[in-house]
Amino acid sequence: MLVLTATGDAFAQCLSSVNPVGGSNNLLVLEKNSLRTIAFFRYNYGNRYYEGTKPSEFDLIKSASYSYGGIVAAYGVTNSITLETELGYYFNKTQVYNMEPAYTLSGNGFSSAVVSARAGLVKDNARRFFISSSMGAKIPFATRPQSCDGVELPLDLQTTTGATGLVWQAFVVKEQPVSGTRWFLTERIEVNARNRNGYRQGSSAFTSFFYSKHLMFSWLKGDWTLIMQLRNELRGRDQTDDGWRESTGSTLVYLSPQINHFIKEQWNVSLVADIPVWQHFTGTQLAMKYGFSLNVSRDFSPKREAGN
Amino acid sequence: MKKLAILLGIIFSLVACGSNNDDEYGDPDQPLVFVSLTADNDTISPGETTKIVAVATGYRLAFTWTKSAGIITGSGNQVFYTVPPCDVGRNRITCKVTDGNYVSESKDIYIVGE
Repeated sequence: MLVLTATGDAFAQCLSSVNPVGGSNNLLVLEKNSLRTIAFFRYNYGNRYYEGTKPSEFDLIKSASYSYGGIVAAYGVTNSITLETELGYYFNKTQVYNMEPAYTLSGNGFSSAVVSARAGLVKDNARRFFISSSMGAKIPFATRPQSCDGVELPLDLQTTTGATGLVWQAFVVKEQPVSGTRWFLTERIEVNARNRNGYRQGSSAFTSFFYSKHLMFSWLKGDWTLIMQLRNELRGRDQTDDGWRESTGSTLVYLSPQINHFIKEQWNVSLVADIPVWQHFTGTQLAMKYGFSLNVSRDFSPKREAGN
Repeated sequence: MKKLAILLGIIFSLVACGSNNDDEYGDPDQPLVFVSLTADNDTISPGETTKIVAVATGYRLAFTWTKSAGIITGSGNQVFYTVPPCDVGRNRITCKVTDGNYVSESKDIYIVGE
């Protein structure tokens, strides 16, 4: 099953570059020599500024959006240690301005990669209770800002801040096989260093609570699972050499329904929607209106491959 | 032989076109002089825009713009600068002019968003 800890650009922080980890997260460690590959596409759109929790009349940006494709690869080094890497590419990151005449700026390119190691901390098969945790490094693909027609793009349209960082994640899973349900709790914390221009993106913490139900209806063909995710995203304020950056930092709550289809016991296809249910911004910021992700994953297990 | 003559003809045409373009851009020996970098307003509110103009003389000039914060729209020697709410404060805008001989010169201007 794919479970998405779909963080990402929420258009908060003036749309700065948070890695859209739309990909699916393996919740647990993989078996030794197993390989998991995940490909995902993510789209986000926003067209309204908020001040605090209320919509604002400020309208500098008419609309903003991004399309992002990424891959996640995980390999079981041992039965309790899994190495993972996430990387992705912004096909476009666009802002349409309320100017006369209308003006659009757009950037594209690689975001930052995350390389991490995951350890299984608790594995209680009898009670179907599991905990794993990972620690990783964020590595930018570029350290110089991107320009278009000789003009440096705004920070919000850069595909990476050009800074390194640390990413810590934890996953708690409780399964109830009889009822076909699962509960998950995931946590992802990102701490960023300063880039070469002295800019430091605020730290962020994403907490997701998932409930999944295996759909078993006589009229439904195939293996389907419905997942409901409630996610809280805390984003700290950004800093520059001059101090705190205004209108950065936010607390956001999303509801993310997800439908998952397992095909031929090999392919996992998943569609996720991101719907903001509560948003609080420091100052005036552009908010995300909606987002969605399409994810495909496949596991390559040595046993299965041998069996085939 | 005929093909070679055609090829030489094409190359000659291209070189000739290049020479014409050079003429349009002026004298390659003309020195780069970055005269001024000015803005209509040095203080703007979030969402407001001000025009920034770079005046320079020289051979085949190219203008590149960078900033410490904010949004630059347009290109060439005249751009527009806007401060979003997250970039209020004193922001530096840098214009670098490079001529066809790869000689460059830069100037800064500061605009306050408040």
